[in-house]
Amino acid sequence: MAYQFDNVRVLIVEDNKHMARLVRTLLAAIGLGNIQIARDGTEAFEALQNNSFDLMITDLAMRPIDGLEMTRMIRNSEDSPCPTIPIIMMTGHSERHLVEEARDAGANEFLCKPLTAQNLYQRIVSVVEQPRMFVRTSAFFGPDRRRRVDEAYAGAERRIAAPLAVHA
Amino acid sequence: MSTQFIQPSSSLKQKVGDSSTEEDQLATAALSDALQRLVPELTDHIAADIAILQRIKTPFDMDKLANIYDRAHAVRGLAGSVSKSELGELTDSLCRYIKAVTDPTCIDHQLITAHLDAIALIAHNSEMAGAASIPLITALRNATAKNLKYTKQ
Repeated sequence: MAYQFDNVRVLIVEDNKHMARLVRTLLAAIGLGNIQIARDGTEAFEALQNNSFDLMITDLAMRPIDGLEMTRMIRNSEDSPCPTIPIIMMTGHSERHLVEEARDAGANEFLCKPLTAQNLYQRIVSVVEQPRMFVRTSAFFGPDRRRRVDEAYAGAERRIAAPLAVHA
Repeated sequence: MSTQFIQPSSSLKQKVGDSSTEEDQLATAALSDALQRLVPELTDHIAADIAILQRIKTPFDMDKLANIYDRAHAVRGLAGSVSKSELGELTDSLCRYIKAVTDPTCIDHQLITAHLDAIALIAHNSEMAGAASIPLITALRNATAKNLKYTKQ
């Protein structure tokens, strides 16, 4: 039994046309044929307002709106058509602060370049098989940033209010 | 505001269904094959960007830096996927430096030229690939870090 990706609609956001072609070709190799490419965050936001997508794969470093800002817009804008769409953030940088920025912007997964078959497929499987609950607080909206329970944590519970479970 | 947990609609999972370990391996193999087929084309694109980089000469201004950044950024993104990680390292170092430059009077022309020369050297000399390139890459990374530390750009 294999994943059936043929009905999955993907938006690739990448300003480098060669990298965009690389990602598109790789996705096509596993059966993803319904793919649209946007060249920056502005174009991506427009595409999201005009079409429905199941998954976004975006570069981080773009101009004028980068992947981080675009993700914040998608998660938080009142006119965002899909605030909970899974977002995989690609970047050539792997510094901790950038991973944390991507997480805090609301990205589901972080994918470091160079792209390999293994790491791209793993990220896709992760958003399919491990969709995290979204968390809304006064300062954040996005996938739950706590991926695991830290049994050793002995400090105060920082989520002071009892969570309210609702459905998107 | 209380913390709300929201269960996103699971349209993706509903659409794709399930997969077995064996099928996951086949999918990964299909991805690898597709990547390998693209290598010649991507290598050509990298070579074209490097050729443009080589034509950009001192003195560098902010417009030239923007052009260098765009080309170096493109090479950095693709290099690792076509087993040219040395070029990825060098262009990464160059991009980090250019990104930090905000004052045109503080541009270190020698440092940029050294990066461009190193990129050309490694791109055109297969014997410079792998371990042979490490001292050069390390030296440029250190020079970049030192420059940014002392100029506090």
